[in-house]
Amino acid sequence: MAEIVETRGASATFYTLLRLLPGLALLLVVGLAARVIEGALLSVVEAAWLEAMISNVIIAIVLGLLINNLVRLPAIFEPGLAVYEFFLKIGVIFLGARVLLSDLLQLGAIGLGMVVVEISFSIVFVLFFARLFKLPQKMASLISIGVGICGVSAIIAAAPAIKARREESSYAIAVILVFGAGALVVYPLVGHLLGMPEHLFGVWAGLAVDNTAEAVATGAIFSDTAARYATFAKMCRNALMAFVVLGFAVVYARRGQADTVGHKGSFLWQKFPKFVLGFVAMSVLFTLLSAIHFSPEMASRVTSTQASLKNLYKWAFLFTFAGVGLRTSFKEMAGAGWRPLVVGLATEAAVAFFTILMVLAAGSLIPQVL
Amino acid sequence: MKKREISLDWWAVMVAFSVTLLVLMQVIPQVKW
Repeated sequence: MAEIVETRGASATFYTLLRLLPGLALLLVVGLAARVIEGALLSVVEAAWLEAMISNVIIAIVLGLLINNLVRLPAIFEPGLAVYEFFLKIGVIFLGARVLLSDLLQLGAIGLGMVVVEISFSIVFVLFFARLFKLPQKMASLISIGVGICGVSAIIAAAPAIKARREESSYAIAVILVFGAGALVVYPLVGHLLGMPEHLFGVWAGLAVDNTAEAVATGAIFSDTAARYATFAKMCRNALMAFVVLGFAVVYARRGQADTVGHKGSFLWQKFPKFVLGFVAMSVLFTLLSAIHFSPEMASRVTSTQASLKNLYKWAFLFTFAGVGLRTSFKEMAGAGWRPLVVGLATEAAVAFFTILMVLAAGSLIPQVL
Repeated sequence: MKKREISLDWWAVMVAFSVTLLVLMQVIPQVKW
């Protein structure tokens, strides 16, 4: 949400889009390559246990990681790679076509309830640990926003609102990214060890993994169904981001460490992730389309569109996963310093443990509708 | 001239709905995985 496309006349828009093309094309190429490699491996491998381990999600992330950390990518790719979450957002909106409005409300109510508990827990926890390790207060606030809600985009949204220094926010972002990368490996292992059901694993990943792309990827490494639940749970967190950021902004303004918030409503609207609205709108549209039967032909068109959109979101997610790899740099992570990492690790572990307990306890309340 | 900004989110919403419309109108054929 930090990336803004300026539109000063049609030519400026055209120029901006042109600058994005090389990076976006690289995402497409890496995603397609992952799919081809997956197919090739599956045709060679015969052992069932090896087959189960081959996944286009992992291949796309690893390919991206290799390219980004072994080769020095020319600057021409940078603008397009920086907006890799564009694919994620499109994918999430497509996903809305599969969710009936009634299911959305039911799942949304439970999801939001769990998110409120999770956010409160992680904020209190980070602030406590940050005090213990004497982190700068604003950096601590940023890490707690990142861990509690939605990772990088939440930090970017909050940093100007509480007037954080640039290195405070880049440290906080580095911390979030280190644990995002770790989650991709650790969560699916834990999920398999505990034999978690797909939908509960997805909700757990969505609630506990920080960055949206990594949360969805963690779910997808486990299974397709888990990816959908992870997306939904993460979206509930994203939806609450604006409110938490507003809360922090008001607190810092009261202490005289940031500007006062003018109109609270427009602040909320400005910080609210609009792709969540896109998801809801898509759900409304397809709920209506499948309820009103114009003709048998129209009904079959709606069904086939839903099938197409299901494949489209899988493609969109695959390109996002390529971006997760292509945007993860081990060198940058190493620059974060140990103190924020220790606070981050303690919080991540606590949040992961707390949320898995919550998800397992509330398991029977979570409907399997996605 | 006042600078107008369109965020990535709105682009995603616009693109997603345009593609959906084109699939619904069968301009874009069935997408396969």
